[in-house]
Amino acid sequence: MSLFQAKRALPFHDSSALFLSWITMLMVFVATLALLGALSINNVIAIWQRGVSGALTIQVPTYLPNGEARGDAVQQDIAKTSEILDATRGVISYSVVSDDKMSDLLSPWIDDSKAIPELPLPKLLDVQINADVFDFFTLKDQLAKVAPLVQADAHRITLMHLIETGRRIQQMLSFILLLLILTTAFTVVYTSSSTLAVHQPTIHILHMMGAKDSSIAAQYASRDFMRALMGGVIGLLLAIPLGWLCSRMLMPEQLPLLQGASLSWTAWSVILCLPLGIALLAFITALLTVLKILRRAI
Amino acid sequence: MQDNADNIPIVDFHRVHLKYDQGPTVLKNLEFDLKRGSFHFVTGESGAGKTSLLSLMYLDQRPTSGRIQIFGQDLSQVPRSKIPYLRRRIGVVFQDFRLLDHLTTFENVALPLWLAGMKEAEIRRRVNEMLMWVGLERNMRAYPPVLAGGEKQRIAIARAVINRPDLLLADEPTGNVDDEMANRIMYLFNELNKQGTTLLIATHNQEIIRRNDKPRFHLSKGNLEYIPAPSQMYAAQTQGGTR
Ligand SMILES: Nc1ncnc2c1ncn2[C@@H]1O[C@H](COP(=O)(O)OP(=O)(O)O)[C@@H](O)[C@H]1O
Ligand SMILES: [Mg+2]
Repeated sequence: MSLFQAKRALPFHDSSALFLSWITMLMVFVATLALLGALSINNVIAIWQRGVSGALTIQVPTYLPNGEARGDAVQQDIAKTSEILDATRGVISYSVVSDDKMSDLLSPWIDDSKAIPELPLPKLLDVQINADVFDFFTLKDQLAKVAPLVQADAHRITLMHLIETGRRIQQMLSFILLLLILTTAFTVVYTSSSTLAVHQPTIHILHMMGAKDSSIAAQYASRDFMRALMGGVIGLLLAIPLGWLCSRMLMPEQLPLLQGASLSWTAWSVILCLPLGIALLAFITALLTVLKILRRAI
Repeated sequence: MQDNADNIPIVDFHRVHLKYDQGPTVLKNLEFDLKRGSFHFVTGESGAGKTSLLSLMYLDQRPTSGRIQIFGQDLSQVPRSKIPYLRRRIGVVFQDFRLLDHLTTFENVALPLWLAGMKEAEIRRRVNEMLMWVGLERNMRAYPPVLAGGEKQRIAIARAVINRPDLLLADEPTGNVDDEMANRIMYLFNELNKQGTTLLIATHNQEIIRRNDKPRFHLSKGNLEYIPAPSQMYAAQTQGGTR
């Protein structure tokens, strides 16, 4: 005969036994997918951000769309742009890319280097920025007012929009995670209080035998820990293949913008710790709930 | 040398009243104490308040007014966190047994020792010995619901005395056993008493009272009357007669 049995001083084969496991299974399943999404987006954003930090290119067109040369207007635009850049926070330095430099840049693609000056190439301004204080959209608005034909690079705008959207999605996923955590906590509070009511006669006897509140609460807490862990592990095992499939379908190699979305080991360990985390949450919630309820007894 | 603690009564009631929320005043103005190592019976008709009196001592009820001291500590002053340690020094045989149905006989008896954090080997040794004593060694693995009333009562007794409490409160402990077992149980109680346990036993059993020459408290209409042990009464009578 094992004393291990005596340590189960409370009758735990109650009707709520599977409830918590089910809930945590669902919670961890959804949470894993949400976290997979949030962390993948995080990686992609980091890569996008590298694309927008440091330098910026401004184009001043030398020809109008109808093919007419702009002549002096080009130099005027460059002067206006320079004025705005001088007044913009976060601009470290800027320079007009010289025609020679342009030729050098283009020569690998164009066989006849003598033809390069004849091409309708825009003038380029190479701007060094401090990305922490630089506000791209303010600059863009100001340029649009004084020199409507001047363009700040389009690639950057796309990336900034993508980053913005990515952040929104991340916020949404964080909100979902928060909801999941709260739901789990409430579930534990609910199951603990209802089983506590059912176990009242047993708890009363244990108290009379000299049991401490903390040891009774610890029994509930470790029970809920095990139930949540069990549900959580199953939820994780179900979610990972699905997450992997999703990443396969949504992020094919042809989409260069999403490259780098694969997760680091740190990210994976965060995800693998989800069941443990939710089990710990169940443990602490049960401990506090039971202690609070027991304190009302004599 | 006698230290101060030895003179403090194990139980001390001072002007204790008990009235249930929706019920009668059960105990009125109780004033008595139990000295260390004493042995008393509590008698009284059914409904007189014997169980209520004992439950005040094991902290299942709080008095409506008055002061109760156990082991020299005022119960109204004991913080909640210290109550378990107080209860571990008190063995209780409940009138309705209050066994845990999901635990075996062995586990029920082992429970107070386990709660007190005793080593497993020592628990095993003590519980086996105790089960032998109350004749339950063959029911060790049985669960209370399948046992007879007398067997359950013996589990309740074994559980109450297993950690050699300083104070033993027994509520009709022989109500469900035959005379031979009742005598055996009383023998066990007397042995505990010799080792220093203070005893208070609520009982109806006239035979037990007659055989054990002990003082008793009689409860009637909420009042407590002290009745000395028969031998003392006899001594007092003969003294009175020779005068
Ligand atoms: N928890 C309770 N609530 C209300 N009344 C109670 C409660 N327990 C006992 N009583 C009443 O108190 C009186 C004494 O009961 P009890 O102490 O059990 O007497 P005894 O043990 O001598 O038979 C009875 O009238 C009983 O109905
Ligand atoms: Mg009674």
